[in-house]
Amino acid sequence: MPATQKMTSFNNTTMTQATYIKAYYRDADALKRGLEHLKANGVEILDVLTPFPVHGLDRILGYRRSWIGRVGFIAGAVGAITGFYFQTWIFTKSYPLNIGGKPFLSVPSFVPVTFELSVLFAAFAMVIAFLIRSKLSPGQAPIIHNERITDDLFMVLAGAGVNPTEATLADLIGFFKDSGAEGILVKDDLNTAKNY
Amino acid sequence: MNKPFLISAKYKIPLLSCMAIGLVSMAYALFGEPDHGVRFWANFHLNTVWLITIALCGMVFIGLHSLGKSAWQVAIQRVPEAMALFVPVGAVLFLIVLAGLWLGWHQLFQWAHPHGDALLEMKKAYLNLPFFSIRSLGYLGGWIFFVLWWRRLSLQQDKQADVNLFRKSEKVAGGFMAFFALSGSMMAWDWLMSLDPHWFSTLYGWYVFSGMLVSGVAVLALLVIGLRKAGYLPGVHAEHLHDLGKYVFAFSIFWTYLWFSQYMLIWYGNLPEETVYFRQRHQEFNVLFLGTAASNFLIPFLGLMTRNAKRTPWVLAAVCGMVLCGHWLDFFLLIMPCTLGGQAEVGLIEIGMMLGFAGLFLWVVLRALSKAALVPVNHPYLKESNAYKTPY
Repeated sequence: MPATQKMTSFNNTTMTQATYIKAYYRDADALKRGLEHLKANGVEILDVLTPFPVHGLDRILGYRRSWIGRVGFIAGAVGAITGFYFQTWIFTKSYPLNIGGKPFLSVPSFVPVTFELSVLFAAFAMVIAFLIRSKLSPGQAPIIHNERITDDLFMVLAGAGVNPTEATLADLIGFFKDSGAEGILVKDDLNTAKNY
Repeated sequence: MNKPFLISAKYKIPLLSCMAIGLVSMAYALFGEPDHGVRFWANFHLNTVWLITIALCGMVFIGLHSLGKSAWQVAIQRVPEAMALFVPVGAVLFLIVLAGLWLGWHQLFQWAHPHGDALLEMKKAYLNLPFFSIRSLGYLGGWIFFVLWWRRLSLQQDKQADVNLFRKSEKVAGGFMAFFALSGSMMAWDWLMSLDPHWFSTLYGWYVFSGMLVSGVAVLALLVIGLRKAGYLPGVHAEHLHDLGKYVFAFSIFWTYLWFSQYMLIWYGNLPEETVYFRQRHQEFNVLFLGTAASNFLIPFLGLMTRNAKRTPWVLAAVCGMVLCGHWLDFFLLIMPCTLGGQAEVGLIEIGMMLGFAGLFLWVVLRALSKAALVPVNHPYLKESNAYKTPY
């Protein structure tokens, strides 16, 4: 990309700068206590990144229940019907084989494959639905906020609005400090970061 | 806050009438039927073993969660404990069957009279009266020993908050589970599979065990819902029902898996000495046989699939009730074709005797519940159990 073009987009964004706050916590309990404090003060929480699933976090953040189970059920039902129909077609129409003198349409022998296909369809559908919903895909460049998030650090990403004044920012940082955050990083779209 | 449970007249009258119906049916089956008590003894054995497995499931439930160091079940723990206290009563009922076997009151167990049957003569080393009795008494004695020991420790903890008592009870639970792992399977061979002594299935013990877990947890869920509805167990909420629902859901699938595994392998292998079991059930009880298998899978699978269904007491209770009936019919199909053969039917005698035994079971369980606090007040995990929330 030529330098001038980069400058233009740079200038356009300066008018609407969104500022973010990243706050780090030492453990899951500190994170949960911190989140309760932030929520009580009306801080807009965008995301929470943890090295492992933290129980109760979904309730604190007020997340709705995932609909991924419904995807699994529908895909599983489709898989079961496909698997059963496919076998009846093979063994009665396409390639009838005499196996151990059993009838061509032997329902008991179709059950394991029907079961496996419903599991396969459900599993694939759920993984794909999850990837689409989370805007993830193989080969995509990952956004890594901090490598320690995959190890022993818990991070809260909060929005501080567009072009916040010094006073609001100071208030927000105060909330984060009171919430027990161990490190606070304020960052805007220009990628100028400042530690507090 | 935790008021003690009392058996009021509201419970006494239906329970006593159930037991009266049971006694009338038993008298009719003994004296009004021209079959010399075959139907009576088959039903007696059926209901005795069915209720012993349900009672045992109470202790298995406790043992499982004790060993897993889980906390959510503590708020309802007294209910499976009370269920387990039916085991001594069930043992008395089984002793009647055993006495009948010795004194020739019934012919339930064909192997007791081999009469030159080559296969039964060969199996005599295992299937003979003295060894059978010793084994049966061994299972019953072992179960009663662990159940009463656990109960004593549990009641002691109500009086003194001593963590050592709790640790000791965990060891008792571990001992029970180790004993049950063996005795549970052998009980199924001896009391159920040996009714059809020519036939065998290596999967049988597990099959009975899976059905027992489903019906046991269904009874537990029904009791908990009932107690909550009557205003007891204030610390129990939808989260606990959710987990009980998960058990019924998961173990129904497990039961279907074992039902089908046993069926398919025998169907595929097509060996006459194995297929005879299913041949008889297909010919004489086809609708009941396939219908029970389908309903015991589909009702809990579709009925308890969603989260809301498991958390709504009346839905959970309805599904548990249907599953319980389905598994009673499954027991019926385990026992009746080997004893009564094609004449067996679910008639008034069967239903009456089932009601009578169920009334006795409930009476014993409710009495045990009324004997102690409904919640183990000094249990170290009680607070955690009351605050329990299932992850989404």
